Amino acid sequence: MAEEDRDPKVSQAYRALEREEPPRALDEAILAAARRAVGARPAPLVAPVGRRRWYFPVAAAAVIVLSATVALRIWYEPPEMDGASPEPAPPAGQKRADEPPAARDELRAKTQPGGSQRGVVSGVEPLKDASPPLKEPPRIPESKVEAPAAAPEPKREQGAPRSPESAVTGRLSKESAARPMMQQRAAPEPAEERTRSATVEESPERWLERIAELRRQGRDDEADRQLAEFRKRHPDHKVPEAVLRR
Amino acid sequence: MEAPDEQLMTAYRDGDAGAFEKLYLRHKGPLFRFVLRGVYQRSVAEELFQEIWMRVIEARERYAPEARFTTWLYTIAHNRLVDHWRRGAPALVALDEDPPGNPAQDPGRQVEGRESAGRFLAALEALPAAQREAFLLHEEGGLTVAAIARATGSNEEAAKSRLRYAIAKLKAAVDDG
Repeated sequence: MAEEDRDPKVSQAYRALEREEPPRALDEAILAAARRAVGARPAPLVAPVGRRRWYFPVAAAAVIVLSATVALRIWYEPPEMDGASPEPAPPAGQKRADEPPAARDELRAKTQPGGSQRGVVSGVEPLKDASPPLKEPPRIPESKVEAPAAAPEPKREQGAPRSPESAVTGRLSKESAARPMMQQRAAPEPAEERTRSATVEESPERWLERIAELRRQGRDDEADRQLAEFRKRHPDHKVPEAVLRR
Repeated sequence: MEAPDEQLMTAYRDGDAGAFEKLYLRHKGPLFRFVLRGVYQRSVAEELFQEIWMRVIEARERYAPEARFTTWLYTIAHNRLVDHWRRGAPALVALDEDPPGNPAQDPGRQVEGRESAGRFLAALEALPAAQREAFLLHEEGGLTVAAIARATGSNEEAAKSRLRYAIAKLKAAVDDG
């Protein structure tokens, strides 16, 4: 409409009339009809309807969850060992030779908030349980033992499966059991002390054999020192004649 | 910024019921008044009003946003009013003639017209149906002359003429006050 046809007074007078509206019931009826019309669209021919449309996704999800659970269960399953307790963690930064590579680390990081601190988190079984029995940490030669030489040892004594050797030395006194801790705190040891501390780990029988060997080699002074040390450690142990005789 | 009518109607055509609700709330008042002032009776107006929206709902699949939505909506409304008049509404068949028993001449209406709003309303009701429709399409629907012509199935000259006559008569009623 052209502007010249407009008359503001007429428009104003019209706007002053009552502004009737449809009743609310009519509004609702029309809106409901509009919704019904949209909702009543023909469904795809092959698409499942109603409750059935959830069958496939739910079944697929259930299969996936079940498979993952079984796989994780197998992965974490502890080996059947009588009285075995979780193996202590290796020293930080020392990667075990037989440990599976990155995937395992990744999995461990996901399952344990503490990252590589195994066995710290309750409720999550240590990873080693399902893996093949782990080798002993490589034994460090005594000649290369440095200041904290005994560091790996106390961890092994805290409940690791006993090796045959350690089974023999089970009669070690509390003093000898506590000694590694003292050694940890100790400053660098002299070579003799290191040798002596190494003998602590030997079985009494082997220790005596070694003393006897020293006697045979004519190194009686060293044999005497070893014998004195031996008696200090094992006062009740019978010392064979071959070891005593010069 | 509010979505244009055409966008809302297209959205509803594609299944968005919320778009229809916005569209309905935007246009329900003007359309209802357009119908009410075309038939005088509220109950009839409500019935026609519902029929118009049902036609909109039914015709959603055929809606093409080439023309303005309001033109399409008021075209449907016009057709429903014409159907109603043809069914027997006595006074409004001759759209361009003054209806018999012109309320503007009626003494009762004149008494009511002492108040300005009543007088204006009486003048509006006294208009020939085509002129009143053109005026209402312009005021309530916001339609241009061209859109009025399309909605009412006439040409622009006729639509413009009807609108001018309607405004002139209503202006006289306002000025008399």
